[in-house]
Amino acid sequence: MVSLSKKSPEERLNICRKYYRAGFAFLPLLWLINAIWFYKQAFKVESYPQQAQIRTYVIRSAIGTLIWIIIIVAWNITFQLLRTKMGPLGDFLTFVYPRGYY
Amino acid sequence: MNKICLLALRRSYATTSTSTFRAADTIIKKTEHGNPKPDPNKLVFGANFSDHMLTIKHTNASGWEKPVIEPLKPFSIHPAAKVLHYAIEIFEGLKAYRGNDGKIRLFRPDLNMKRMLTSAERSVLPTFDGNELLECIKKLIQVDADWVPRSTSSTLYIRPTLIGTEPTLGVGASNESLLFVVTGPVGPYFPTGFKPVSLLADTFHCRAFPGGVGAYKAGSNYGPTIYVNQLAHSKGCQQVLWLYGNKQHITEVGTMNVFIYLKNKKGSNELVTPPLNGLILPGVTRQSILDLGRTWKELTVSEREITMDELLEAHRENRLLEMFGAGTACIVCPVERIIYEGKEYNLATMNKGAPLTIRFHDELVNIQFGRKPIYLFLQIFVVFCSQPKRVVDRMYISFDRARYCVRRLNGTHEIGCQSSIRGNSGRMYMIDNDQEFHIYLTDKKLIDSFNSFIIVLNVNLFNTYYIDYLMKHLDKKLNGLLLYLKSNLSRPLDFSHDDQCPNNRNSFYLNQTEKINWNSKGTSLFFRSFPFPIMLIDEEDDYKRLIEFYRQFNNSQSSPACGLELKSFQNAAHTTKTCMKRNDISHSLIDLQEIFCDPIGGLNIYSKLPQSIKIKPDQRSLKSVILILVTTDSFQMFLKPKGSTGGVQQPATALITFLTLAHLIGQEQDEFKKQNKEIIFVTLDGDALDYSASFKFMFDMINGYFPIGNKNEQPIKIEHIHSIIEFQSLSMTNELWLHTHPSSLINQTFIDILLRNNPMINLIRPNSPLPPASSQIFLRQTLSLSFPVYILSSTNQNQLLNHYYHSFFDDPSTLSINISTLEYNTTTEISLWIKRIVEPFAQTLIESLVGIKKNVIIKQEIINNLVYCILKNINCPLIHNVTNQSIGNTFKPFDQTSMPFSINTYPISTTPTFPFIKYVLGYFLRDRSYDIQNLTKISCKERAYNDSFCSYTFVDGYAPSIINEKSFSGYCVRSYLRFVQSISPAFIIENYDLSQTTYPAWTESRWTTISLRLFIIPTRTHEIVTLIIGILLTFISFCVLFFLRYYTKISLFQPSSS
Repeated sequence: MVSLSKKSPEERLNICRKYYRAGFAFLPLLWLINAIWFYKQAFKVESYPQQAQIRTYVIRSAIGTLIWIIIIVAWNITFQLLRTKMGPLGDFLTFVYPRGYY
Repeated sequence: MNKICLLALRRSYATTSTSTFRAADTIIKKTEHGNPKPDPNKLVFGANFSDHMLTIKHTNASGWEKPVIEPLKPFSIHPAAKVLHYAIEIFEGLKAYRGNDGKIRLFRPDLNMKRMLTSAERSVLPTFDGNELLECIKKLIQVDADWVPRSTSSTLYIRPTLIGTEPTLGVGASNESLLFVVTGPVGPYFPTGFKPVSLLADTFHCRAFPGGVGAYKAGSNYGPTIYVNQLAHSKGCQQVLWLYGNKQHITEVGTMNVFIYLKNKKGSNELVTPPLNGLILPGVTRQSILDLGRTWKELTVSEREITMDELLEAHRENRLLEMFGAGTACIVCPVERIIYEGKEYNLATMNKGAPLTIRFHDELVNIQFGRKPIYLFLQIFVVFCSQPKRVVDRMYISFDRARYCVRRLNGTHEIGCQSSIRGNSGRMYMIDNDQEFHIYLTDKKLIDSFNSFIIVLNVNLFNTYYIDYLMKHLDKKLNGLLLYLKSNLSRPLDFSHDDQCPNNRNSFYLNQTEKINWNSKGTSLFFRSFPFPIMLIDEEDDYKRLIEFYRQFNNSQSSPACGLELKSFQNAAHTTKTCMKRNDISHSLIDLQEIFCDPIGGLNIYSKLPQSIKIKPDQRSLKSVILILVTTDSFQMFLKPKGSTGGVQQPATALITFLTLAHLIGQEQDEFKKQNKEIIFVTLDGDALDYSASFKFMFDMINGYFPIGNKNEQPIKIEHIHSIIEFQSLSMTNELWLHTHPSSLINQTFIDILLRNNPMINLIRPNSPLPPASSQIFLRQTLSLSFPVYILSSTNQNQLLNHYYHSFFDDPSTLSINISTLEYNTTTEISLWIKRIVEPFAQTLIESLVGIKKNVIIKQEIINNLVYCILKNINCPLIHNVTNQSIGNTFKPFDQTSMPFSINTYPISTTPTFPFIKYVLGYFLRDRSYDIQNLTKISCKERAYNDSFCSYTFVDGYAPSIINEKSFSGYCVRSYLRFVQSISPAFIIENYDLSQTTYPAWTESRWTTISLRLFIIPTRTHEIVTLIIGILLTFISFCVLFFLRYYTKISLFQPSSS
């Protein structure tokens, strides 16, 4: 990963925007990376004109990540708890069957 | 002559001659008490013989008979047999060697076979496929494997012999011959190192002559040499040097080929042996020495004629290096002295210790015993230095023959046992009786000291009381159960894990207001689901091994304890619905579809007399079909891949009775032609668990699939059924009971005739509850409105008389059969009993259907054979009699296995049961008018092609005793045989909800590994000491590293500065 400080502010904004937009394609990890990677640029370094926009993207990415985490954890818990009760659907959604167990 | 002889030798030893015997057909009759083995160090050549011999008879009329391996015994032979008068005899001699690796090897036996065939042709004896004889010999050696000496010098000598046995005195080719092979252990020819021999070079007598039989291994070559050998002995020589012709050509030494190693006139070393010119026997050792010598650079090998003059000239000029004889018996035998024309010549052979002779000897012996000198050192190095055994294997003692409990599922439940993937382990605790049981359960200190226990329980205590108590008291600490049977004498009086009322789960019982406990001693443990594995040890020596370890390590608290690990992980779980659903799911092309469980069921097989086929548009009249039913499966809680599956009283006895009846009906088929009822014999497989096979049968019948196969055959519907006769749970009781239902439909005259013909049978009052039987389903599916059923059973009005119902203890010993002495034609109590049941039964059928009284008699032999085949060895002569031998013996893999009666998952698991029943039933019910038609194999095939209703099998096994024909070359069997898979309709009906109980839905889980291992649990102190030593060692090694780094400046991670 290149050091962001070596890039011009326009380039930084460009990268940050690209990551933010790509994250909408069900890629929460991109948002996560975006949020962590640009955190310093958004909040810690001396301000520069593009910082406000970068900050918005970083905050939105962070919120998106959080929502995704909640969704995934919730589904995981539901699936673990209700898999056997879902019947055929539960089995269909299972990829690796627990051999010897229901 | 020379040319012909050579040509004959070049042929392949596997002749393409059409007539040969086949090793696959070999009948093996093992002796019960073998002779004691002689001391391998005191063996005299040809004086000791192994326990068995191989004999194969041949007559010109019918060709080769089947090879027989039987205990060694004298022949009975007609005094006029040609061999006794004209020496029509040829033989071979070869050896089997046991290498250091324990493997048994033959040395170039193909050459012996080739020579035997040329010898046989010269003596006008029958030829055969040498490969097949070789296979037969291998089988013989396998049977007598213990006779191959475990020695580096002693071997097993093999003597195949072929003699002409026709009992007529004319000098002519023998019409009858006998091939036999005897074997015997022999010691080394030279027990104390090489002993050179002296030879008498006789100028008057001759061993062979051009045009004679010197090149063949015929017995007549050897008899006349004895006199000359006597002459040699009288002159102080051991052997004769055979010369031929005016030029005194050297031919052979005694019974060996001769080799002369000399420096020839050009100065090079030459190994000379006489060529195969008709005077010389083409020895295997001779050939091997030639082959071996040709690979050595320091000498040239030549097959050329050599005379006495040349030998003596070389001797005089000190060019003769060595002379030796070569044969199978001694391999090589050095010659040191020759007496020729009254003069003695001391040869140079032993001057330097006969290095070439010894080299040949050693190399050949190494090959024969499978030793490779070059690799020997390496092998020792690998074996002793690297210890290829894994530590894991050394930690455990395995019990491979344990029986195990598996998981089975139905639409709503799972039953059986389950272990974790890596197996369940725990401290072993052995409980032998009630007293010990209570001592253990009150020993709180012991129970608290371990987290998990594997309880080893006497099989007598395996019932609900003890199991419930244990499970409740130990709860999670109970990690597995191991049951043991001390010996066959201590088996429990009752042992049945079926329900007290078998198959009661889905109310299959009819008109049963009160529940009858037919199987009153049943524990229902089979139908429980255990969260831990259960295994059972039923071999006496396994038990002894177990108790030995247990006693050694279970003395006190401070010593290490025994642990056990039981592994029987089952793939399926929950219900049939779940596992069948999972079987079907596959997410993509890359993940392989995994199978978790298989539906239970085998084949329903049915057959009838072929004369009664109804082809459309022939109408079938109502009530014209009589079904005779029997089941072919059983279950037991504890499985074992090899070993008794139980099921002798239920269902084997009934099956034998059923097949005997089929034979009688086939025998009396002319009577049955006179009437218009069809008798169909049906075997059902899968009824042990909720009658799935009967459900399938009724399902087929209701939907018009019965009989299966040809669409042009009139289907049989419920209204065509006249009555149903079923044999169930026959237990060799003095009384039998006839259960009938419903009272409104039963034929009282039939019952009266049956009761009159067989006084053993008692009639149970009609409309009483029926015992567990397939007929329950036949009645249930027709609401008991269509036909009557007659169940002949040893079950009286309220009790099964089988104490081991559905368990592996239900074995032949319960019918007072001693299985080890049971032979193919042993008359046992049970076979007499079956005769007493079946004959009156067949009479009754004839009387009530045809209307005439006829005494029918079945040969006792047929029942005896069936008893032997089904209870002892399914690969028996009967099955060879009724199958097509040219496709090979398909029962070979099941040699010495009784017919298995267990839960089948056809076609995933293969069992010999179905092919056996198909062949035997089809054969018994064959169209007997075909027996005398003398159809050839080809016309039999043609008929099979043209007739799609019947099956035609060309039976070319050996002449069965069932039909009395002297010359036998096979015949065509026309029979009617159909079979259909018997899995429950639940798996056939599309979109059937498996959790419904309309049809049974039993499946059996799949499993991969089953193992039972014993290990030692170290004491706490031992564990702590080991841990401390480990920590100390790690610490010390760090110190050493630190020390080294501190004092040496070299860093491993950076390149040195230079």
